[in-house]
This record gives sequence, structure tokens and C-alpha cells, in this order.
Amino acid sequence: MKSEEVFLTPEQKREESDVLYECFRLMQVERSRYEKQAKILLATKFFLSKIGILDLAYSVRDDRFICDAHSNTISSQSFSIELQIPDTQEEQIETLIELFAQSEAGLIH
Amino acid sequence: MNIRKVITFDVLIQFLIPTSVHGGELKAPCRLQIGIAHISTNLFENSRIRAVKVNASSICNVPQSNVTLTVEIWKTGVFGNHFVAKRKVKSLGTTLLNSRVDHFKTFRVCKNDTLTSYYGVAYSKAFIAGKWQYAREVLSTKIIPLECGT
Repeated sequence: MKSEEVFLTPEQKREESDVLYECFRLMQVERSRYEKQAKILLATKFFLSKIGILDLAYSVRDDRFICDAHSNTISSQSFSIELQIPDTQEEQIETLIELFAQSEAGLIH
Repeated sequence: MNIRKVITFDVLIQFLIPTSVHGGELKAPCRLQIGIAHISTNLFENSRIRAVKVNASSICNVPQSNVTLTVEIWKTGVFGNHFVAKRKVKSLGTTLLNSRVDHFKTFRVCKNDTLTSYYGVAYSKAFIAGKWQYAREVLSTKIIPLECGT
């Protein structure tokens, strides 16, 4: 077992792969929707989305794009993701596409 | 931040006052563990998808609740290190004795094959024995260049 993977059980490794695959899949399949969302977020600095039981709030703070995800259920986890804002608008949209995909892919359990 | 430029050689950081004795040595009930930044090999073998990621765990031999575990990915640079990504996970429940809270979803998709050196930073807080306990930052033990530009 490689040292960097020492923490993961076989089940967690499967979940890790699932999340990454789903993220990459969403970046391709949902690209058009994410581009629209990115333009709204860049213009208004805020964007709300609801996927299943999760409320996703996207914002721009300082030099970072942020996603705060909260579950409607009591027992579930909540999470947040922050990504560095790149310099150009083209790069910013690409980064936001990844942020949207990461946050929605993170729903896999 | 200077602390970000220093790579500790400790993988395990004990973050509570020692409360138990084993063979004359005090043992802390909790520790925070972080891995080395890496490309997910399992993923790469099955496809051309590449992402740099860092895993971390909070391990406790006492019950802990409301665990918030944060993992950051940084990359080194000529004029200082640069923030890449951060993911914070909050678990609302209470863990059992000797259980782990794992965090393995912090990653960035690689844009290209540019050789880049990454490391991880983890820190946490949890409600343990009636008090909020905070774990100081733990850094990856090694910085390894990866063919992954972000």
C-alpha cells in the first residue's frame, strides 16, 4: 500500500474514485449550466442552488470562490469548499465550473 | 505565513492534554493525521483523469462530536507558497471510541502536466469531554513534485 493512500479503506478508495469521476463527468456534461451559473456568480458575487437535500451557497470573498453546503437533515454532514480565484475571466469561469462540479459530486456517500 | 513554509517531520500531532498512561508514557487521546499530496493513482490507471489530492483523518480513543476537519492544498513557488484549495467537513454526530473521522475529498483537477510541488495542511476542532478542543495545523511530511498544473 502506498504511503499516501494509507488512510483509505477499500470502500473509501471506491468512494474517492466515484467522487472524482463524478466531478469530472459533471464538468463535461453540465458545462453549459455551470457556465451560466459562473456568469451570474461573477456578476452578483452570490449564487444559490439546491440539489436534493443540500442547499449550496456560492460566494466570492477576498481572493477565493467559496461554496457552503448545508443539509436539510439533522444527521448529515455539511461542508465548504474554497478555491483560489485566478487572474483572467476565462480561468475564473473554468475554476467555477470545477467548484460547481466538486460541490455537486461531493454529495456522493 | 511563515508556518506554511515549514514542513514538519511529524505526521501525527497529539492535540489533547495526555489523559492516559501506557507503560509509563502519557498518551493523548486524539491525533490528527495528514497524507502527502498525490495524484490519485487508482483514478489515473482507469482513465486519463488527473487530480491532486490530500487525505486526512482525526483519530480519537474517546468519543468526539461536532468534528470539523479542514484540509488545505498549497503549492510552492519562487516568491512564496500559494493557496490552491480548501475543503472543510463538519460531522454533526458523535463518534464511538477509537473511531476515525476521515476526510478524503480535498482535490483540484489538473489543468496540464506542469511539474508542481504540493503539500497539505490539516486542522480540526471537536467537542470532546465537554469542551471544544482545537488541533493545530499539521503539514504533509514531504513535498513531492507532481505532473499536475493547477
